[in-house]
Amino acid sequence: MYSNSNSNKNFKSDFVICPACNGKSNPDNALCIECLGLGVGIFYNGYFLYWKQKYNKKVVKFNEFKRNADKIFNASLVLASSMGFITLLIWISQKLIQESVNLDDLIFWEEKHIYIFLFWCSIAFIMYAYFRYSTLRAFHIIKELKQGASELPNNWGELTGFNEKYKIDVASGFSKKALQTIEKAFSLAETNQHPQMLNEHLLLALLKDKTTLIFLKRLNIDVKKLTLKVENQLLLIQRENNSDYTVTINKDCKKSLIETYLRVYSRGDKQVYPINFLLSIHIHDEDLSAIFYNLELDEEKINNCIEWFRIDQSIQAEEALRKQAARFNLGDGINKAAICTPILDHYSKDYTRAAKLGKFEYCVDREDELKEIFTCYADGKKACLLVGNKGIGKTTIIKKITKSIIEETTPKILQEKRLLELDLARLIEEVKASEVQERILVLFDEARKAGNIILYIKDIEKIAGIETEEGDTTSTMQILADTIASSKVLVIATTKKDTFKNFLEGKALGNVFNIVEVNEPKGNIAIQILMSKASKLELKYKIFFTYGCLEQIVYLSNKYIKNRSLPEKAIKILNSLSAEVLKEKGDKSLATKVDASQLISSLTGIPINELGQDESQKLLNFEKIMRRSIIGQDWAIKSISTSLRRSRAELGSQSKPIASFLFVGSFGVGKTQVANTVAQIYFGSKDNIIKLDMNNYQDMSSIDKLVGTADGELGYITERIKKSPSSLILLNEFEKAHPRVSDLFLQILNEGKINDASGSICDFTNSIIIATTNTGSEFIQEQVSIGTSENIIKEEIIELHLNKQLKQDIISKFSQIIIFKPLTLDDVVNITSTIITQIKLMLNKKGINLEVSKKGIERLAKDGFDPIQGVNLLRTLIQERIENKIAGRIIAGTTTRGDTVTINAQGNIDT
Amino acid sequence: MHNHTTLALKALGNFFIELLYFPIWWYSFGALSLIKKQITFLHNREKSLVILVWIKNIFKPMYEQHDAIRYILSFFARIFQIILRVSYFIILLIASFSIISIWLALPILVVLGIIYQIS
Repeated sequence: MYSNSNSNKNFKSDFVICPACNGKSNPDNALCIECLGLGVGIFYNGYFLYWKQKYNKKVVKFNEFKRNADKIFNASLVLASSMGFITLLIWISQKLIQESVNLDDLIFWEEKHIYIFLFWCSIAFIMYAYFRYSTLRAFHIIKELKQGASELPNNWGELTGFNEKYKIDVASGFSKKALQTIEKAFSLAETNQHPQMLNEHLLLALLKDKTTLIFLKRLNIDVKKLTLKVENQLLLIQRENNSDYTVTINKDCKKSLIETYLRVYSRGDKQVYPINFLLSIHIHDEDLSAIFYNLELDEEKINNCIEWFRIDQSIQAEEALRKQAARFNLGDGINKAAICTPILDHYSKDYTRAAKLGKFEYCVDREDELKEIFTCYADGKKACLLVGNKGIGKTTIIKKITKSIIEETTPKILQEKRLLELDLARLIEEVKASEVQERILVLFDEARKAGNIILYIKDIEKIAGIETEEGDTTSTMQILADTIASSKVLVIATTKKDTFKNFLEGKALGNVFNIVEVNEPKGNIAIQILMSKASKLELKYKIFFTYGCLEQIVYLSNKYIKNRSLPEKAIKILNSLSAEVLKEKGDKSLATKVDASQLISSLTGIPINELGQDESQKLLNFEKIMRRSIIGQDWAIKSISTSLRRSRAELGSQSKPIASFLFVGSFGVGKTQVANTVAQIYFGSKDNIIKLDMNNYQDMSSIDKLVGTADGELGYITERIKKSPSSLILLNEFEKAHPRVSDLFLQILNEGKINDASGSICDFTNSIIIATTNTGSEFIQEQVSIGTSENIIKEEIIELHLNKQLKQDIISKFSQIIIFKPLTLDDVVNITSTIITQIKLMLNKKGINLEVSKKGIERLAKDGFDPIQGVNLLRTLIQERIENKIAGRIIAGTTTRGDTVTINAQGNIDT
Repeated sequence: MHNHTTLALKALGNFFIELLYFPIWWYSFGALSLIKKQITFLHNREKSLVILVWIKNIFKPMYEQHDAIRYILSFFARIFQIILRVSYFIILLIASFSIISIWLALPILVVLGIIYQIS
């Protein structure tokens, strides 16, 4: 779905394989004389990475035996370690119950007793247990691969003689569990009498690992299905009949192991865990690659999901640090160490203290912005202004800066500084502007004297917007600008993008700042931000998020919720979804992609479920459904259906309306009826239509009616689209619109958005635009009667008629120009029949029967048809002659349940 | 049966090697790692006590009021703070040294204790 900016390099083509043994290292149980067992490897930063470990039955069995023995031994150690303390306690209590006990009697090391002996042994056991624990923890760490050999070997002969320190056996970075998984894979190959251990064996062994199973659950993968597929794959391998053979590790499997090591190293991790095998297991195996592809398990998902585990680990590590910091926290030492700042303390929130106490949440990425801010201060600038839309994480960046100050990873100028957020609410509370200005001066003066303060002003426009008694806002801005410029205090502030453009850019206050633009985190970064929030919610609501769910939230909120920014809007949805899933499915349930789609669909009113069976059927049968209610407009129906199908399959542009049509045809040929039907099928309701009669938008001021005015009057179309973004906008008699109004719609067709008078963005990318015009309707009538094809009519009508009425730009921007044919009498007869059938159904519900002859319908059609007005007259006629009369009878009580009403050959109700 | 014995013997061999390595580790990597941990601990504590910053600002009036009395008051307040913080840091320092000493002495104490018990 997204391009992965963090994706690791694919090393697939960089491997070297020994031509003599084809990577087997020890073919026929003998070491390959060409490569001396190196087999397969890869050069990386002057190092040669390869898989050294050769397994055989004995090695695997011994390792398994050792693991079991270790478990028993460790358990015994724990028991033995605690035993001595118990015996010591018993010894002390025995002493204490003696009648005359004094302190000297409790000097246990001077007394010889079996209990004391056991105590000393316990101490020895504890020491030994700690030694084992420490050495195990340090076991197998990925080596730093910097500055390897400057000259690389040219052939296998040279490679075998290559300096040993530059040859890395990748197993040296594998965790015990990872090695155990490889052994399990080896045993699996051996049990099945397969000649080689393949990636398939490794994957099957991996499917027994607990973390991998959680991982696959996150990806909503059916483990049984995956296991079956891999097992079926293995059934195709010919078994080894000779009992005296040794399973070798296949070269592609070795490549996977080496590549896993490199990928884990590139991520900056210290050890390879079983789960990491998923990073590369499919890359070197076409069959597994196909299986992964069928399960929609791509590299990006795997990378991101592994990142999820890392984020969880980092959060846990931060939590541990937080606890430690809180335990030893000695309050505001750094504050009072310099100068006391009582006024600042009163008007600010201490970010440094909060960060020390671990009150700030984990922050994903943001390295670019951080780097820019640090560079700005390191270059001697004093003030930074973070400019970005609301909800994109400006405050999170400030929190990360505070954390960096504590971790001492900032430039020197920021080290040992206190970051304080000005409490604007308190600062401007119930005081006149002149007092606020005075407070600003006092605060900056105090901060300057303290010398270790960084002032953070959130939403600086709030200060800048304070009016003086004379209604002037510039003086506060000017004073703040002058103060920042003249004082030596470091300042960091935030503001929204549009506020910056409207009120700060080019002004004195805007000029004192170094501008750092904060971009909206999208794609993988936004997903990772959600990951960092998901674990807490999982604990709180006792539900489990799949990766697809988070991905869908980011994707759909980015696509359909345009008036807010990521990650805030996605986080809000994630919170709502947690409660929703708990409510709907109960605890221990899975929050999936479908749940995310349904929630966003209900929040936005847009039909955004994955194309389900019903919906796909509906789209496939779009034409059929349309034909049920539209008569005589086959050309139009076909073009519209094709265009909408393409759009629903998301093949259209994402930054334009779903589709836009220009309906050309005379009155009463069914243009509005088609629009209604499209809204009904596509948006699920006829109510989702915004109708605009362009007759009412013919003068200059019309634009204000549509987008609002600076005085606060709201625009009709902008407000409607904000309330229901998925609507069909019907622009009747489009050619009559004022050129400025046409230009507005040209912008909508072009960019899919416009700004209302207040500057906020109105998104039209989830709407369908239909403009209608009668221009050239006579020409269409003439051409249809002489049998001209639709395409030629379309070309000529654009050239001869539309170009004269509408700008060429706008004509070309419609996704389709739809020609509506004039209706024939046969069409009108069919339409009459349809309308009468509808009336019949309505009356049937009241128990009244309606009978009509063919002649009666034909007569009604004939009387109601007007070549200029189309079928518009027909509807009025049927209403007057049939509906009104029947209604009168029902009210008068002359027609009751069980009666039959007949329409005669003259198209009238029989009296 | 033979196979199992071989495995057991091999495991036992490994165990003895591990056992021999234990005291060497205790006085080399183990001790080094403990010292490093203590240094980090003390460094972090110094960061929260900010003793050096207090010393650096010893002559600075706490409320930036430059009259003689405030100077003196500030100076003594700072001295008091420094003494308090340094004392606390010294306690931590002693604790850290004690831990390292116990680490180094523990194997000897255990061996002596056991020998004493069995003698």
